[in-house]
Parts: sequence; C-alpha cells; structure tokens
Amino acid sequence: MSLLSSVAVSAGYGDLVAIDNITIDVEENSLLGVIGPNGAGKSTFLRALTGVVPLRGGQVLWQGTDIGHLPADARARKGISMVQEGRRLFPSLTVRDNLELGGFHASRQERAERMTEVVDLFPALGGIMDRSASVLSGGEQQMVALGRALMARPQCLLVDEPSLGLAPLIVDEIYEALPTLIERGMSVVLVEQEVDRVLEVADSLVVLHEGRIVYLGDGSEFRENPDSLAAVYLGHALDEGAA
Amino acid sequence: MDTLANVIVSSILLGGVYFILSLGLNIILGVLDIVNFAHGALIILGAYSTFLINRALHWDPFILVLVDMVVVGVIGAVLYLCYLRFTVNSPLVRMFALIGFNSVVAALLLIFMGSDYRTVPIDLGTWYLGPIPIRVTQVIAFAFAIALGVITIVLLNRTKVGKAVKAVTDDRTSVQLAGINDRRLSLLAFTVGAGLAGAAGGIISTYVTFGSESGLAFAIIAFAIVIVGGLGDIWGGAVASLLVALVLTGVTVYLSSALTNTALFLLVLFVLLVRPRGILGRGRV
Repeated sequence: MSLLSSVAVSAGYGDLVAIDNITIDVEENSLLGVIGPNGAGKSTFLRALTGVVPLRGGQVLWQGTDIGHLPADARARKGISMVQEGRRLFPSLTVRDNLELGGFHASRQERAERMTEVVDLFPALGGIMDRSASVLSGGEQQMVALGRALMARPQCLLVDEPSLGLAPLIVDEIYEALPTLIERGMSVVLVEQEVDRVLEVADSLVVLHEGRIVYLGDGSEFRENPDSLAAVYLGHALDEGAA
Repeated sequence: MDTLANVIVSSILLGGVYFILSLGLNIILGVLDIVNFAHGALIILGAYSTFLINRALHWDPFILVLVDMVVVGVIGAVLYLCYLRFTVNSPLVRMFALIGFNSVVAALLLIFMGSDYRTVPIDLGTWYLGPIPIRVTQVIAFAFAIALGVITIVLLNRTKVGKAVKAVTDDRTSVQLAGINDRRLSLLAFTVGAGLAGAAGGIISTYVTFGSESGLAFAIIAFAIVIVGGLGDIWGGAVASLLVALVLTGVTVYLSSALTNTALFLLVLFVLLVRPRGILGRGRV
C-alpha cells in the first residue's frame, strides 16, 4: 500500500481546471519529483494533496484511507507537511516561534528535540533563532520553512519549488538535506523547475503539462537522453514520452 | 498651565480606557479580517451587564468587569458559531448581519431597559496630583484597562496559542499546513475580542452615563483608534488611544464638546492621508 495516493484527482480555481485526472502513488522512503513548465499544475497538485485547494473530483488516499474530505489542518496532523512556494513564513514571529508552531501538537520536550534535529540539518538556523522572520534572507527563509515543516515530524513532506530565487550554494545546502530526510524514513514530493536537480535526487518522476500527466516513471530515460525530456516537458511528443 | 496639566492627566487616564475599547476590535480585525460592526453592541452589553448585576447584587463594578468579559465573550462566541463562520466568503452579508445585531441589541435594550440614561454609582473619592484633582474611580478604571491590555498582549506574545493566533494574521494557509485548527483560533479570537469589548463596556460604565443607543458613539471612537493606530496593529492602537483621548479632551476643554466628533474625523482623515498604515506605519492598508 502506498503512503499517499492521488486517484483521478481534479482541482482548479474558478472556471479554470488546473489539474485533471491525476493518479500518482507516493511510496514510503522515496522521493517523487514533479516537474513541468509554468502553469502545468504542479503547485495546484500539491495544494490539492494537502487540502488547501478543494478537490473537484477523485480521491486523496493516506495509507489507503480517503482523506479528500478532510481540511488541510487535519491532513497535516495525519503526517503530511508542505513547504509552500515563496516560503510563506510568519513575519510577525521570530525564527524560533515559526519553528515551534510547526510542532504545535508536540510536547515541550518533543519540540526541543525536534528543534535540535532541525538545527543539525540546517546549522545556520542556530544563530538566528531570535531574529524576526521578516528580516531573513531568501536562503534563511527557505531553511526556516523546511524546518517548520519538519517540526511536525511528517511522514510525507511536500516541497514546492525550494530553489526559487535562491543562490546556487544555498540550493546545494537544501538539496543535500533531502537524502537525510529519506534516510529518516520520510517520503518527499518535490516540485521543482530545475529539472537537473530533480533528476539527481528523485526515485520516481512525474511530468505534468497543462494539468495532465505526460510522463510517469523512474526518470532513467531522461538521465540517459536529456533531449527526450525537453520534448515531453514541452508537451510535444506525448505519445513517445508518456508512460 | 493647570488646565493643560489637567487635560494631559485626564487624557492619559482616558487613553487607557480607550485602548481596551479598541483592543477587541483590533484583534478581530487582525485575525479574522472582520470589521466588527457589532462592536458597539458588545460594548454596551458589557455596560448594561455591570449596571444590572451591580443593581441586583451590589457587586463591586470593577469585579463585574471580569463577569462582563465572560458574559459578552459567550455572546460573541454564539454569534460567531451560529452565524459569522458561515459568512467567510460573503463580507457584505456579514457586514449587514453585524449591523443588524447592533440594531437588535439597541432595540431590545430600549424595550427592556427603557430610554433612560444609566450610570453605575461608584465614588471612591478624589486624589490630588499637586493642584490636579483625579477621581480614584478613573485611576482604577485606567489600571484595570491597562492590566487587561497587558495580559492580552502577553498572552498573544508568550503563549503557544497566542502565537498561533498572531500567525493566523500573517498567513492562515501556513497555519493550516502546520496542522493547527484555524477555525478554533478564529472562534477564540472572536470570543476574546467580544469579551474585551464587554470588559471595555463595564469599565466605561463607571466613567460615563450610557443608554441603549450609546454603543454607536463608543464604536466610532474604537474605529477611529483602530484606523489611526493602523489596522491590526495593537501597539499602534495603544499610541492612537492616547492621541484620540488627548484630542477629544483638548477639544472639549479648549473649544467645545460639540466639536469632538468633527475633531475625531479630521484626525482620522489626516492620518489616512499622511500615515495610511497607521501612526506607527505597521498596520494594513
């Protein structure tokens, strides 16, 4: 049984259908990469999984149980955390407060333990704990956003465009943390524009185009022949590229 | 010179009461994005709660402030649970519902309490700060208001739930994604905001006379403070409370009490033009 599944999921905004008939399984201890051009529906897919965007059709299964009717906070308490695009910290609070709210339901002792784990993963956070989240650099914000999500000790972490607007060195640091999370028993769903980086870390890969799946596999074809990815990525050779 | 000193001292004391008058409105606006047009009704319910219980049981009016807080807080919770939570996507409907609540409360008070203006009888004597006379009741009212304000701010800034309430004002979706039930936080914020309005009513009942229609006048002052202080900015609200008290007291003493509302609106207009984010520049536009 998969940890998290979307079964024929459709979602959108107003009259717009942003994703249509998306069926994907997220396995335990694995990293699923989700790529595609702008407007492909990648972020909407994550938001539909977490409940931020309501489903128009289909099911979201958590360990085989339908959770599509649950609000976002209830899904999060089951073990799904998400780092949103643009980080979306709480600017009126300090870094420490941001992290602690990630572990809202944990005991004080558990929160302290998790905080230590987060600082071990991102040592730069150790020195800025009492700084306001409103004055952080982009890289620091991303670390806090990831740390806040990890404070919930999720079984499944959804990350939306972690490299967006960040210096390559910072992105390296964030990507170096991802295998550690898998080692700790977590599953990760990674939405990203930087295809090469996703191919480096993903166990399986989904390519979305105009809200539909145009490729679902382990991505090996694209590692061997990057040109074939360009065709699928742009939605040109759907027959050849689709699994 | 004595008159000026008197105005300043009176304004400081009144400013404390105004702060608590606006605090509940500010919290509800910040957390729920609801402009609480029922604020005046909640204040006046607190005032009548003090008046009625004091008349029936002769309890100390300042102890009754805490009772007002609970009574009006519960009324606020019922209003939120039974109606407001269903109007998230209908701000216009919500606005009319809250204005309607004001009208219903005013009508019921008129029917059951009559049109007489009321006062809570309390006279604890007068202190003198040099030549300046200060009613002890006003000092206690100020102390109560400041204590309630400080407790609220400490709870917001120092407790886990308080920080979560602040986080909702920053980003509700991120709060949900952290597994925190934002609907409960909204209920809590509205209940606390209503309770603070009730407490403000109780405190004000020891200060001035009031009637079934007085809620509007108090609400206008509270709205002016929230705008001058910056929407959702509690510290801005504290500074604005003092400023509004100073302007209203100064105009009453040096010009005419008939000009207080005019002065209030001019102050609001001036701040909106010069500091649209409020006096400290940290409020929402």
